[in-house]
Amino acid sequence: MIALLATFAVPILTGLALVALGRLEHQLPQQICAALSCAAAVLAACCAVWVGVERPRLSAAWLPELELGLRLGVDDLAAVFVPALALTSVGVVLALAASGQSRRQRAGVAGCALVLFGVAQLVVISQDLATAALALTGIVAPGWALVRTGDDDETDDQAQARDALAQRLLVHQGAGTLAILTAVLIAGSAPGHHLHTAIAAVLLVGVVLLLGLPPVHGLLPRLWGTVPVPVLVTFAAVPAVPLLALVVRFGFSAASEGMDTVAPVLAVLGALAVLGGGLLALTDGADRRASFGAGWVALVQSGMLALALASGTVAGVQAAVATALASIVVVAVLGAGVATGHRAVLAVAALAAVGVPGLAVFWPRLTTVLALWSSQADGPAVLFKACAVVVVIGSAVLAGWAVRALLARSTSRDGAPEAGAVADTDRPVLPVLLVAGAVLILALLGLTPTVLTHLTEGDLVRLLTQVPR
Amino acid sequence: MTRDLAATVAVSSIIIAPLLGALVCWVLAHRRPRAAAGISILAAAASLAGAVLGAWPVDGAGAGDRLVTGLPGAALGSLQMPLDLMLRDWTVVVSAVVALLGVTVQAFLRWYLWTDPRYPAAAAASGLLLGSTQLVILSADVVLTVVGWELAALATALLVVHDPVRTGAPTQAARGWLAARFLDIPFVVGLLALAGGAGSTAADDIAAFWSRPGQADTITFVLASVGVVVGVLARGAQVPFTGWLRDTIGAPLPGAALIQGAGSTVAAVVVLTSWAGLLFRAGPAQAVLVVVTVVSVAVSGLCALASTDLRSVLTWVTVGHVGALMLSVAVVPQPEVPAVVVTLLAAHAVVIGLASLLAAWSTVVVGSTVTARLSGVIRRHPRLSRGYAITAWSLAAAPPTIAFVGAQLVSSTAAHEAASGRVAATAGYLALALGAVLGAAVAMRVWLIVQHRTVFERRSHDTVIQDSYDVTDVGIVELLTNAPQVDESGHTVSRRPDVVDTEPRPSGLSRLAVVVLSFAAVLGGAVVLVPGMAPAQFEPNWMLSAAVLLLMAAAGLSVRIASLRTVFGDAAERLPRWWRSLADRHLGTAAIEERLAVLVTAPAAVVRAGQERLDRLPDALVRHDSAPIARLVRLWDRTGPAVALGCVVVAGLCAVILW
Repeated sequence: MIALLATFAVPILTGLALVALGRLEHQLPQQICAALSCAAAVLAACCAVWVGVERPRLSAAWLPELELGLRLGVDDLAAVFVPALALTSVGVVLALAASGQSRRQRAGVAGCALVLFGVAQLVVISQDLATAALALTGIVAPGWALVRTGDDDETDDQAQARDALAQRLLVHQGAGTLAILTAVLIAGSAPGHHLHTAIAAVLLVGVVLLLGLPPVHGLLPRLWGTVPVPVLVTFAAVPAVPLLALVVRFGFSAASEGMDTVAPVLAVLGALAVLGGGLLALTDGADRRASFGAGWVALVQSGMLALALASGTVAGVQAAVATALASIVVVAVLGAGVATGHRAVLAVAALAAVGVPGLAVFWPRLTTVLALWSSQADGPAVLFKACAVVVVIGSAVLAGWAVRALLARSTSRDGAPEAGAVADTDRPVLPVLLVAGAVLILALLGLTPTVLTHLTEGDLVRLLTQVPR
Repeated sequence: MTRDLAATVAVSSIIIAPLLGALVCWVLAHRRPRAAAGISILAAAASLAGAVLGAWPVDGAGAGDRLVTGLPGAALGSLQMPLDLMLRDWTVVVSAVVALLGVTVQAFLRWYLWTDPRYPAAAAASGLLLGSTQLVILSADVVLTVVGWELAALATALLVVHDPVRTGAPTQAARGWLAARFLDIPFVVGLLALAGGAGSTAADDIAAFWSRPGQADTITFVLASVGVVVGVLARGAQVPFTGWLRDTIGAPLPGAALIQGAGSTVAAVVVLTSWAGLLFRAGPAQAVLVVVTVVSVAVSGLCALASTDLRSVLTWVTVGHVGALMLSVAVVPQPEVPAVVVTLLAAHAVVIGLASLLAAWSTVVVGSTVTARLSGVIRRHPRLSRGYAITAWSLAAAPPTIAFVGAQLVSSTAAHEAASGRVAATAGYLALALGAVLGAAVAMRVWLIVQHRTVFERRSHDTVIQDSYDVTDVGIVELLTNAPQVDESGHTVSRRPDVVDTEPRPSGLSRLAVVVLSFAAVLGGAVVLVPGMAPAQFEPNWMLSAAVLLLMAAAGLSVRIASLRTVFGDAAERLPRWWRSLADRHLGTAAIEERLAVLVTAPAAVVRAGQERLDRLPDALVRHDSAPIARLVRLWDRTGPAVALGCVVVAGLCAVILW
């Protein structure tokens, strides 16, 4: 039970302490801050792995009058997500510790990232929907602070742009989490079938805002080039992973009929994200100043996740789980490739994002197409089949982006080395190891496609076929 | 060794060995050419050994069809994904031929790129191509087919981009890969649609589901079948999808041998052969296949006659061979298809492989594959003569080569079908006959070019002959100065030659590769003696065969006459300039592709413009000083995180009190 609590409490408390320490006039030595954050992340990761294996449960009444309680537990879905989030947080914290940023930023960013991961863990292991939805609102403030914490030597324009982005993030995530909370509260206060569509519609609004689907899709891609890579990785994991856990548990059980109704809308938005993201990346692909359009790849991944969810099948949800995890690794490797200018890393990341076999994104993409094609959800079957075709077309368009980005990179390296480029021998060891680890995970996810499927199959079949627990 | 264990070991060796070799070359041996050579050759040899093991009868029984579990399968709800592989009699033979070509190419590649620091990358890409093609050949699950299919396209692009400094190489590779990705859309969607409908990705389950009464008439099945056929035609580089094969001209020549002889083209033919029984239930799919392949056979022959570069000639020959193979699949009765196709497929792989390796050797000694430079190459470099003779003989499908055997199997069966009155069979037979005649003409053209003598060489030869008839006085001084030196016994003293032979000569292993392919080209036709490798009801039509052979001889003679009094012995010099230009530019497909790119770039520009408009809206909202969000932010700036911490503490206290 202590391990279960430590999984989310240790990162949240340590993160808050680091944020507070980062704002002190007389700051602690940076080594202490880094050691503190790393120790907390590693401790939480150890607990997460233990929890993932042992699967403890905790149930305590909190507000009996409101039927609120603290029910934590690790089901099949959480057994995958909890260790994945914990390992991601370790990677993020280590990368921040190794980066050459100011002390204030390092402590503040690491603290906010830890809080975010802690909150995400709480959402994932919450077996009570109200608690999970309430906890999800906890991502808003640390997310905003994470984007807002800048470097000491940035220009006024950069600071202004970052502030504007942070404010937009605040609006999106605030409204999104509020919508999710509202849907859960409606479902709790008025159980019955007549409100399913309304609940699902509100839930859809929350999903669209938090995943950054069209028409509110411009935010996450713009973070590229504004915030450091570890922060990008954090936003690739949160809120997508906790949101997915919540929607799978809540949407397909409490509002299953409503989900069937709104599924075509979600599918269309997902298809727009896949195709639009690919086309926007293509137009940015040859522009060296705009991160080679890599930011739009995040939009494509969000679209894939939405399409997989919209299919409403076990295969689709399994694809969504795999997409969510693959997105984190792809963003990590792609961000490292863009930031360091290392052509091989960029090439691997681009190929992975495109969905080349043997790398992480291929299997979820293929499964999504199969799930959409065989979807039995209400609504026009032709629409889902058309969305499946769009996924394949979007993949081809994204290949165009990859080609343009790699060609632009190769031409930029023909002459003098770029300002950001560092010689291989001068690279610090830790970031190299982290990138190598991410590439390894990218390959492992691509070469062992059925591991995730087997891990999540039991719970998902129960949830999606409405068998009572 | 039990039957299942033998099959598992065989499949593992065939597919995993080259893929693993490629990975090791890339990761560990990318700066060690010697190690990379050893690893890549051994990996390809292991693949060949696996294929031989797979074909070997076990427990006294024939090999037969054996299902092998590839990756651990999965059940995605109601969708089954078993991820199985299948060893069939004919696929094992194809696999062995592909592996044989892989070994010879890897052996030759080491010598060809001896001084190139990027050799390990090329060896790795070749290994990846070999492994992915083998995966497609042995796949019994559409997911594994798609995996191999896409990896083959990627490996092809990696081979083309081998020399990034060469002008246009990155663009060619990118264009080829992109074209493959876009042309794969109908194929992937078609296969997955069939799988989605059947609720399983296993090939047998899909065939069983769609073979039920009434299923073949559904619009989904017809569209999916046409999509798969179009995808196969595109990967087979049939007209008008020849663009990606044109771009492979930039790959190192041994790599190009693998691409054209054993890469995606072979994979496309194998997929078509495996699925033909199901796909041709949809009439439009078969019609599309017949029309496109008939046109491709004719156009490729005419273009191969006119191309001014041997690489381009081989590319067009590949298009023609693959067209003939696909046409055979459409024309020959379904039960006979594998037995008929496998010999012709082996002939294609061996002949193209041999021709490409010889072209690579010629490139090293004369510096180019342009026909003008190759003119008379075997006169100056006699070591190439036997190889070119066998190549030309095989390209012409003259007896007793493997190409002749394969062509006889196909044409006789097609003629038998044509006699039954099927329009498709009649058209197919005529196209195959035309292809054979044009192939003979192309072979004669290549031979005349490589053995051509220049005017100077002819006159020197004539002068020597003329001098032998003339008796001239020899002076005593000339006799003393020009006579060879003798020893005390009057024997001529042998002198060390003043000129050292500096001609680049392939290593022993590379020459062995050429010899092996030469033997396979001449004697490989014996594969039909293997049980199951020839149609059960095969009846050779000797009269028709003789007629076609006469036509081929006439075509060869015509080319010989046309080549007389040309500068380089090239009959194509008699052809109109526009024809040669069109053949060299691959029918102008590059320009067409650039125009088609507008289909993607135009919507991208529209989406970009819309996105820029959208971006302005929220910026106006959050940057406005009086906006409520901005006020909240200013409040945060003043109070700091103390408020947040306070809120957390208060919330915690409330929770504890309420508990």
